[in-house]
Amino acid sequence: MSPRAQDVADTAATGAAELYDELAYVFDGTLEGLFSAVFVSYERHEDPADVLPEGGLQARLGQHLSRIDADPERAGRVRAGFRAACGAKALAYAERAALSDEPGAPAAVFRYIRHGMALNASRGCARCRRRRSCPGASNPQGRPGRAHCPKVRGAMASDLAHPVIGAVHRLARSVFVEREHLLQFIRFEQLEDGLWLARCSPKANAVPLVMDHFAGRLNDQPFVIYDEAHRLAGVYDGRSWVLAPVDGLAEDALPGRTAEEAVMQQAWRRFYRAVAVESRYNPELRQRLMPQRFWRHLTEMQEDLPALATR
Amino acid sequence: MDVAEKLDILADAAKYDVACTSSGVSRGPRRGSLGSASQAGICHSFAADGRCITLLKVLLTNVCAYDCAYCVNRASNEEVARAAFRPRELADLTIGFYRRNYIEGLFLSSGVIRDADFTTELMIETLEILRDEHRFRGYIHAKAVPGASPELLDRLGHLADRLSVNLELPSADSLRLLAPDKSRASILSPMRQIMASMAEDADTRALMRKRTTYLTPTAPKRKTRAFAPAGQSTQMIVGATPESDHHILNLAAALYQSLGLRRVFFSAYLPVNDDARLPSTDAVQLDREHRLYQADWLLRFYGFKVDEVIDADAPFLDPLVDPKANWALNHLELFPVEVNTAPYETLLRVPGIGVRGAKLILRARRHATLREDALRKLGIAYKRARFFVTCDGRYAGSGVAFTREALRAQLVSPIDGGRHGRRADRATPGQLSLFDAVDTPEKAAVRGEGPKAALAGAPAAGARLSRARERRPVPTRAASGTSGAGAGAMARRARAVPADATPEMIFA
Repeated sequence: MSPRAQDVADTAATGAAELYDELAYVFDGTLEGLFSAVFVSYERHEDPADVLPEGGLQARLGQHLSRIDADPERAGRVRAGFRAACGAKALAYAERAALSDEPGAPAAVFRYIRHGMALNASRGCARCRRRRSCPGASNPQGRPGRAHCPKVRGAMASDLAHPVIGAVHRLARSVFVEREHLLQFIRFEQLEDGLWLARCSPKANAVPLVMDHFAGRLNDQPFVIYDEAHRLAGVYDGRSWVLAPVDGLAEDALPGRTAEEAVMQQAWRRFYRAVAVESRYNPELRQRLMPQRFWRHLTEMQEDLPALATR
Repeated sequence: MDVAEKLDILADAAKYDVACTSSGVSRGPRRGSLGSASQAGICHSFAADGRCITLLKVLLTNVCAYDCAYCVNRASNEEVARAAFRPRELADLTIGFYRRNYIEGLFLSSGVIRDADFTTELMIETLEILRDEHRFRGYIHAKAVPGASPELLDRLGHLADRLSVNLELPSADSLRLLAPDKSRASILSPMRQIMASMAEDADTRALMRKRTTYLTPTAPKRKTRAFAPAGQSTQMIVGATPESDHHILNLAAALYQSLGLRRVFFSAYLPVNDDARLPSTDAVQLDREHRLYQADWLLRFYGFKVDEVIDADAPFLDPLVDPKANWALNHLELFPVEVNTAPYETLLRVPGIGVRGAKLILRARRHATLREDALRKLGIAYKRARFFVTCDGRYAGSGVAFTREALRAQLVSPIDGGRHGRRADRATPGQLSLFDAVDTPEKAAVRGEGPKAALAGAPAAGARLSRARERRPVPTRAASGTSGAGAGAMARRARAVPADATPEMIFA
């Protein structure tokens, strides 16, 4: 079925599209899906008012939905085209921001990519002062679509006051902050079969961004970082790491913790309590620096188990 | 005694050490070794007092031969429980915590057991187990014990990432009075040695990188560890002795400049011992500590000179206005500045614009003219900055007179230190203490009168100091009145410091 026919089929399913209906794309929530949506919008010459992920979808009144299937080949073309037009840095910002859980994030990244492509297409080299030295202008194939213009690359990376570019930068930064939180607050537990397990539920899908850090640092220690919020597990087997979508951990099937684990957790709790200075007690500051949503997974914020407390 | 109990005692004993950073060295992971270090450091937890926990901060032992008045571990505190880690116990504990991502590494300090050399040897043994047996590449901060021999300090520096020697108190007089076992020489000479060793290490490495012969260069068989690649730091107690902020900041600036320190930490004096040599007040000068850190940041990141932050006429920092705003209020002739053209150094001087904000402005203004809404979006404190900038020629601070008094009223920001604990009953200016007027035999001894004079170690210095304390105005009040009546009296006491002063000259 051609994309056009697909769209017609969608319309038939959701009821006839009114003339003044707003168009919204719905994609599967992955980065590939989002890039495919960009591709489709160029293919159909459409400018959707919103781009929404499938999960928790709520169409607004008078909104006409069009479902976009993720297509690796199309996503790859968008990725390569965007990198060629706007530079690797802009692509990194887009990919980073797309990991955010904020409701407006996919739409912001969608606009960012379209904005970059439009910016690149509208910049001609004819009257540019730098056309003699610029690698883009001297490119035999001509610049548009191939090598990026330094001006466009610079704007996409640092025109922070622009509403479209600034929004993506703020999202990318929030994802970066969440990654930093994971580096800080992930806690591993040693299981009896030699595996180390950590659970977390971050606000952004940041587990892929911390796997390199932990796999390098704890390279002789096979571990699993399980993200409860995104149902994603980062698995490191001692040589390399992979990401695996999981439908929850089977708590009963998990091996128990080692005896050493209980001793270490107990020691860490005692250390945590001992190291605070009472006359400087300042819970507001602690909560600001270590938000409460992380406490659930922090060893030191758990009560001592009764069996351990009596030891 | 099991390890957890020891940890309890020895972490409790180490908690008054304020330095806790894992920054300053970037070391990637390596297969077969455990750990890595990142330039900015990672805070792994925050204690109930809001301070970060990044390293396992413990003493190797809290048995101490020294008798420093302010210290909880001093020899004369007989009721304190004493413990000591075996080097292997501590190394294994560190690895256990590190594997669980509780910590970034080890902060190893110690009481002086037997003598300084013996203590340092124990510390070296611990670090050798970590570095050689466990092949640990994480962060290690080690305290150099004053009085240890240079050879041991050299070995310690090659095992640790950061070394620190605590200055403890901001002047040698105070040190003589409160820490009779330590001296100016025993503190400053290891600092000088650390600086020299770091320079030597850097030189050697630079030479090895250069090709000095025509022969094929061969890599050395075994890589040597760099000497303290994250530099050295120090800390001093503020509020136990009568030194002014002016003195403390000049000392800090001299340490940064001539000894190349990475950090100088300030620690508000917390009364943990009953001692006549110490102030009897119960209020902790946390707000003063906060302002000192703000001034310290201005010195390190904002390109301020120390005499711009504080001068001898007003030797205490203003408790109501932060030091940068204070500087701006005193230099209104330089403002407002245009955000679209002002250089980075000038932007950094604007209250409400920090290092991050200034860098974002530089980036953003290359592409578009910045107006008010753009500035707000960049995340600078526009509420404060608007009085000192124009956006595209437009001044947004109108409605408030451009005078020192009017702007000061806008910029006053009391330190929000939380609503709990001692923080809430902060030192109130002019508050009298019940016990100030009571004369005890110990106080007499400190002044150099009576049979117990020998107790104080250095009676002459003690006498000078305690008289100074009687005359000393309460810092908070003194600072608020830069133009007040008390300023003249203080100007006579605070000595002007020459621009190229060495720490030795100030720490006298």
